[in-house]
Amino acid sequence: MTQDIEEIEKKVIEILADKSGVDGEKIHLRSSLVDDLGMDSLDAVETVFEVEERYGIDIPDDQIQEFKIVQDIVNYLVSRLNPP
Amino acid sequence: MVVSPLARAGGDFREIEMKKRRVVVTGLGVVASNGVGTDNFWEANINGVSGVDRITLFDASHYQSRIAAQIKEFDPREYMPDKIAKKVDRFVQFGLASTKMAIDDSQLDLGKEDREKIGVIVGSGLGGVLFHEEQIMSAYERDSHRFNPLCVPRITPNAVAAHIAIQYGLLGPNLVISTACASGNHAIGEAFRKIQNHEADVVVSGGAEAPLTQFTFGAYCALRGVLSTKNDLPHEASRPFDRERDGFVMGEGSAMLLLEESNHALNRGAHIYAEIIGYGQTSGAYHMVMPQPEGEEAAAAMILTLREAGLKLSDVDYINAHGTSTLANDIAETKAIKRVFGEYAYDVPISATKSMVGHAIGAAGAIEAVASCLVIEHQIIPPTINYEHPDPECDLDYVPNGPRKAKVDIALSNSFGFGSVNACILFRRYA
Repeated sequence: MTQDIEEIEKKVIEILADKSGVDGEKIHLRSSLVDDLGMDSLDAVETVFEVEERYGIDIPDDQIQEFKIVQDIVNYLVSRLNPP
Repeated sequence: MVVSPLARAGGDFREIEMKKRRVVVTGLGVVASNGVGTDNFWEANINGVSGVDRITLFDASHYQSRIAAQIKEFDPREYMPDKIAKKVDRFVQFGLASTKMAIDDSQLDLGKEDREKIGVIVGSGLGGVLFHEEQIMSAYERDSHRFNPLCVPRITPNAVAAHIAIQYGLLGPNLVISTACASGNHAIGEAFRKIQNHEADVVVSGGAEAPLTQFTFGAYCALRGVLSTKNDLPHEASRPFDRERDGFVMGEGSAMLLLEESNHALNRGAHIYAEIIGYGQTSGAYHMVMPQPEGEEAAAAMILTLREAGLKLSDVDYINAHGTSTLANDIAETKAIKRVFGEYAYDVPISATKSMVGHAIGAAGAIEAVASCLVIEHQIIPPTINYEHPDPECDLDYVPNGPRKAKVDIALSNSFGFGSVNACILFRRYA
């Protein structure tokens, strides 16, 4: 089942808004998790947990450090959920 | 900058005289079931208003006891950033709220303080039980191996003291003390010692507890005969020293006192509610749940407290009892008071805050410490409510049902915890 990219973007931004405390309207695909959203490592881990729960996948620990901007999470999910 | 006596002496450690310092209370904050905020709490106390009602936080319909002193009308966002309110357990929300009230009340300007000399010592018997239970249930229902990353930081009991320190940048000693029903008094007592012994100049001290959860409440029910089952008359269920009492009513909430070295307080023109002049602690080495029936351990704690203060028995103007409304405690405590005070036991007014706010476990001692300070501040003793049927074994003056104007310079506050642990604090009008 393919996951609609817009749906994924919306969901990721929703989760980030919840965990960072930043208004969803202010979160963009190029927003940096640390610099723009003020997230610390625990916030990041919480975000990954929500994403894992939502999409029923396990994300490896070392992947978490690769998420620098919102787009990184979206791209990862798109490739995980829509395998070639 | 506060210069330590050691630095002033040129670093010569040999002859520094470290006299015990005096400790005063300069700020109060309380989140209680009959009043959120010190003014509301006091107003409710002197008017004998009960915070006990049917439990709504979870489904208690299958339990023998279905009532509790729940906190209503509490919005954590009034006291902390939204992001924090969402991430912390209920007991930490209560703790942060009462801390904000106490710090605001004290008018302490943290910007001018040496934060290394400001500590946080808080009592909590149970920590983040709500989140703990929710997460276990959730993982079980989802048949999942994956847990919420907040489990550790949100459940650990020391989260309350840690979050307080983080919110206000407090770098001094940071402790959570877990001694069940005595936690609050132990925390205040240990904070008192820290300041007496030059280890801190200011300590945020009190207790926080949110035990109203499916499993934790059920666990107390399982003790059988410990929680009141007067479910049809919630306001009347907590009736310490009354012959018809049948157990305590579980409560929740928090209270914080700002403890301060006396000169530190005087130098900044702080309002002083009371001075702490005694702290006695004992173990009865008796039982995890039952108090010594003759009250020996409780009496010992009271005696130690009075001895430290160097008082005559008749100097004590008021006793804020542990007064849980269990058959066992109220008799044992009455006997203990008689052991300590002899004939004077019949003259000293005694009242039980738990008659109105139930038993908030680790927060109880702190809530009652706030009440004791307010008694000294206002010179009015709040009642023990629901006192209708005198029990011949509890025949002292429990200030039944109505408040009483009285000269109160010295107030003794008792807390006797599960596990035979006892802690008493003595407050005196500051002079």
